[in-house]
Amino acid sequence: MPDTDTAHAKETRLPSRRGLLLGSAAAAVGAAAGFTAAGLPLGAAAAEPDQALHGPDTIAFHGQRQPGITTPAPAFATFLAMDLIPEPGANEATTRDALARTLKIISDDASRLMAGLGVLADTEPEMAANPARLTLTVGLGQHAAAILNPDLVPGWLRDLPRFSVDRLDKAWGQSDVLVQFCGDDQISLVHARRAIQKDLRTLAKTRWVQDGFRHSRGSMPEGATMRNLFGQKDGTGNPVDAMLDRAVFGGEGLEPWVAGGTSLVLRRIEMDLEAWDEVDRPARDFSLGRRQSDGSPLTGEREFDTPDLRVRDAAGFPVISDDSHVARSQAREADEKILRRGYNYLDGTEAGLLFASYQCDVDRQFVPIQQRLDAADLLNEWTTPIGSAVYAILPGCREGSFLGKELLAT
Amino acid sequence: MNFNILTHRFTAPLAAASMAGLLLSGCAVAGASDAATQNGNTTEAESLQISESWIKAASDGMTSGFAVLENPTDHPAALVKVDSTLAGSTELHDMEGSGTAMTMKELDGPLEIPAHSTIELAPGGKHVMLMELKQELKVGQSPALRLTFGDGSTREVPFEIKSFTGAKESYAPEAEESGHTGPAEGDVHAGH
Repeated sequence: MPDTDTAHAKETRLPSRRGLLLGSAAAAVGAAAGFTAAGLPLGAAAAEPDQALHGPDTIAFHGQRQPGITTPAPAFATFLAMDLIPEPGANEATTRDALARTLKIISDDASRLMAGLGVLADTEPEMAANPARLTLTVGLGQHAAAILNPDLVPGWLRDLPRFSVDRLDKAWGQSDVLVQFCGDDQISLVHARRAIQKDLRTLAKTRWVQDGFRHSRGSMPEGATMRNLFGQKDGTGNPVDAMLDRAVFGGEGLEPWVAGGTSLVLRRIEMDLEAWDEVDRPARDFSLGRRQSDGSPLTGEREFDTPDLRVRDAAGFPVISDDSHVARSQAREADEKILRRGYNYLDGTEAGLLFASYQCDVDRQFVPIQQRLDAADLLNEWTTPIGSAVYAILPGCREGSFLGKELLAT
Repeated sequence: MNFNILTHRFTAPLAAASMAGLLLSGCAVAGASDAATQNGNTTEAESLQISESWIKAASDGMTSGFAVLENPTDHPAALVKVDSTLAGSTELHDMEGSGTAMTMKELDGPLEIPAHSTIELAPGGKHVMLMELKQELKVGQSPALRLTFGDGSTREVPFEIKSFTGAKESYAPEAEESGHTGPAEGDVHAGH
């Protein structure tokens, strides 16, 4: 794991399931050499090289930026949207105090949960014991940001412009507070979500919960691009390194709303799998501008080859259609870069993508891309945005403080 | 205790970070090592480690507080009383009975914390009872209670106010009938 802010307890090395699976591969070799698989001693798995469990892996909560954004995306995510409960007879000061107490509780809970500990007064702390890269990331909608500090509310923190493809359902709409939970273990993830809901029951009520998934930890190389439910690699064009840092947290000429802060656009995009079944492979690749097989652009050979929109075929048509998803989403300005950190959802018969996009400035980076996709993207035929919300993501906090504390209006 | 097990499972800096995050209001956990640097006669208030302190949120009436008290020294210590300006009166209570049929009673004497031991005040067990609340205790606040120890030393300890639906301790079966919330419950206590 290359990330510097991850930790792993070395002493918790036990023979893992993975060891057992490797054992079965060894059994196949053994069978070829004249041994039966059943004849393989049980101790073979234990004899494998150390296989670290993932459960104890942690990501640090404290820091200048919140975790769960540029840290690796774990297998599961839960987005929890909450609305602040107005107190009877509340005034500006008491409303701000209630928000501060909300952020204080979330911060204390997050620091404990992400370290694999139950929250204070936890009734099921045992469920927290396998954090498995658990992260909690907190954002504020316009209403809550104005309570925090009216002078800091960024201009982009509002409903996105209307897009013609939208069929938005308020049930998946804007909330005051958002907590993104990510982790590789559903038990600690569910526990973390419920711990926050329980702790905030007098301060905030749940508006919606959206659960999503990616590939399991260890099933593919770390950092491999996720496949969405259309079978496409999703996130190939994400910025990396210095460009990632600038796209998400800003830099010269691209100012974040506060230092260490960023924004999240979360859209629930329904995908019509039944209709997609009818689309043959060439049409799928044409619509995307990439090959479904390996994510390579139609003008290239490998996934991370840069799409070349100028290349034309023998008949003089662009190899990557001007109306393909890749062409429409291609940056027209240097800073039109976003970090897509999406998760698939499958909810009964409804399927789609929790399109989670992090960027420094929604208006400058996200909106122009979405406007082009809205005007013409061949994939629009099979995709429908049904939920949309925008959040100002708070900077991280240091030990002894809590998220947003230094930003509170005085 | 879970916390200790986890401290060993995870790296020390993480455990320390979570301990620091615990007391957002800033009052540090007074450790034995801190106290030892002063002189040979450290008080119980200085040498006991107090953590995981919280009070169940309540609008009025009564509520209960909890904490983990660790005595890392070679000498026995005791928690004698807890004072708070938040409540008309406070008592140290224990639960008796078993399973779902438990009732609480005031401790006969001080809460003993033997040398090298940890006493946990927890729902369903020993706790601090705060009666005749003078103000609402809101989730996310962290008021300080004053703890007095066996040697007469005292210490202000912040308690986090938490939303909690357990810890419905009752004195006796008749308290059950009068309900768990509202002034009536406080009256039951006051009259005891």
